[in-house]
Amino acid sequence: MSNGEGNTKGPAGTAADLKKLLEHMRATGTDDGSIELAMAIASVTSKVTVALNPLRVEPDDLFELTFNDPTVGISNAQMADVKANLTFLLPEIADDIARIPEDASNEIEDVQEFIRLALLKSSRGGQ
Amino acid sequence: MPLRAATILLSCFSVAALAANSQEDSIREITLTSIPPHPVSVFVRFTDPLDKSHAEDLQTSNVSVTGVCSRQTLVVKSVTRHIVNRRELVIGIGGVVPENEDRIRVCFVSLHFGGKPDPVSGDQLCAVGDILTPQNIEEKVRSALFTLRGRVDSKSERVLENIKVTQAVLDPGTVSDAFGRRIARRYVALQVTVANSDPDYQFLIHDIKIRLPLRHIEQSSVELSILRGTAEKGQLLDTRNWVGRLLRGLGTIAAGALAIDKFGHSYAPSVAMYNGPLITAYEAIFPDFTINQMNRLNDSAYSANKLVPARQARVMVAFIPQSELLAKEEKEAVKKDPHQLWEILNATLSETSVSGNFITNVDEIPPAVTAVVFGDDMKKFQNDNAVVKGYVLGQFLSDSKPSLGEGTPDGMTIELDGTPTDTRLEFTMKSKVPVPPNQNLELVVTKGKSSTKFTRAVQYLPDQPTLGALDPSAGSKGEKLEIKGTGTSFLPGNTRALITGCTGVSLANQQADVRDSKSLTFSIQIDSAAGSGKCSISVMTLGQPSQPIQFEVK
Repeated sequence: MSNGEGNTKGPAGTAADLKKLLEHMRATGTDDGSIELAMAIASVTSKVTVALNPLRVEPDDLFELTFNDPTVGISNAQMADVKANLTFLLPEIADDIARIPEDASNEIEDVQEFIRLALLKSSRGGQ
Repeated sequence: MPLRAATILLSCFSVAALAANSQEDSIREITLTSIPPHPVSVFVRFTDPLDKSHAEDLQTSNVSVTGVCSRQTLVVKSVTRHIVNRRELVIGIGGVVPENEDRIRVCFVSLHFGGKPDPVSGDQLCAVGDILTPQNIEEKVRSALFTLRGRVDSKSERVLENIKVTQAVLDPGTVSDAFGRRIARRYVALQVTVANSDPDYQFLIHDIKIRLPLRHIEQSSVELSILRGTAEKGQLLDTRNWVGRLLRGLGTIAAGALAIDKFGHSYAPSVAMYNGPLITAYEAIFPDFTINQMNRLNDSAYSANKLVPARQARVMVAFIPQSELLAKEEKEAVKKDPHQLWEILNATLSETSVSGNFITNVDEIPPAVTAVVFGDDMKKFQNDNAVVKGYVLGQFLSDSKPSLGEGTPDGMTIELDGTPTDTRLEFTMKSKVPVPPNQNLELVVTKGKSSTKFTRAVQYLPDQPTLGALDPSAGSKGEKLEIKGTGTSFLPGNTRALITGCTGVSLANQQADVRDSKSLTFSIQIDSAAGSGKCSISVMTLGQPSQPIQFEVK
């Protein structure tokens, strides 16, 4: 899943690859859980990619879309996989992630906000 | 002092209401984070994506942040675009947020949005938002979850709060002992505990799922009625049981040949001994474990609509087909080393989820009957005035009553024993006359206006009959006689007489007329050309013959 330039492409390889990329992202700047969310999505669908240098998410309007938007292509059943990946990347809010409904019609931005708040609650992340 | 505090509070509410009314569509949401040790910052989310090419939008002079209550202007240190979300800006704040302030007002002078040639300015770039603090962050997380669950009602949220699920993988050896070998070979069993901490509602379980996200597997537990099919086949193919059936089959064939004279006088007693003590001894030496395994399956296995009472927990076993979870090599590995199952499921982050609803009243749900169990008590049906205890397994059985449905043999009644629980109803059946094996009994379980019927066949191996006396014990040539026999273990519709050792004497009817387990009558015709001497007369019940006694033809 990971190439030499630090790009991720879905579907993901191992969770260890994602973890390595995440550590790189944390080392480069602020993080409110949105990068982790983009990576969790990219590891499930081949329609979403995350590039690190420079940081870029494709499609660039990802956070304005719903999970089941044709340009994202995640089904209700795959929401469980997104959550599992997210739990791996953000274990400190695993309980909160488990409460995210497996409804692909939700806006990704709303999930991003929920994660940001959950991270704040657990005294982690934030700008 | 209290009066002053009340005045300040009133004025804050007024301003907040005014500010909220002025909010326009360009800004969707604002939150200021004031949670140490995180730097104080404001997240502003817009309804449209911003145009990245305009650096002037990020000037600190382009934005003002003011406390709604205190009206104090906060120092803006920086304005940056969100790292990946095009609709968000992050405003860095210098200093601290005024104490007792809970809302802020953010205004931009102008901003450029994607697809719009001219910048937007004015009131539509002003909005009011909340301040996140360590005290209210928990509530805000809950609120964000509600946003995600827009279509979910408050009761469903209550499910999330109050229902906790834990799982434990059962060792295949334990599964084999508890539920049978066939079940253990075909299913992965998980002990699932569902705890309901809600003080008011009972939780009605609709489904149990196991998920292995990294394998993209999501599988529901097989329902009890399906599992019973597998278990029943296992019961039939169990070595002990098929050897027993083979022995009984041979006994039935041997008994059928009793009428053949050539086997000699010792044949009938030999067959009687084989069909009686020998088979009984086999069944005593090798008890049938499958009956208890089936009962355990009924008690423990997941079935739809299980109920977890308020403030209680329920333990059940979910069965997932092995073929759905494990590859062929993994199944082989598990067969050799059961610990591998634990390794496989845990290494793939397996998790169990339970879906269901809170309900307040179970009275409207009709009782569900899974099985009617008699155990060894059922053999008492062979006797007169039999009293047989049994129980109904199922759900929603509390406050229900049993009765007998169509086709019930004359003289049979049923009574409730004790108080039924949600899953078990105990009863006593009484019958004045013997009830033969394979007689179908229809049980009706009634609760309020709802009732459920369940048909159960009477099954037992009857005792060998004995014939003590015949009245009359002699007859003359050319006579047609009705003979009364006395003895034990006669069964209505299943006991017949046999005549051997003489010629010219025949039975008028194959079946004897059995009045109770100790008396019967049958008719014989003695031909005028019949030979004088003694005949052997015996009775046979379901393939088991009695010892013969003598009948003299004069």
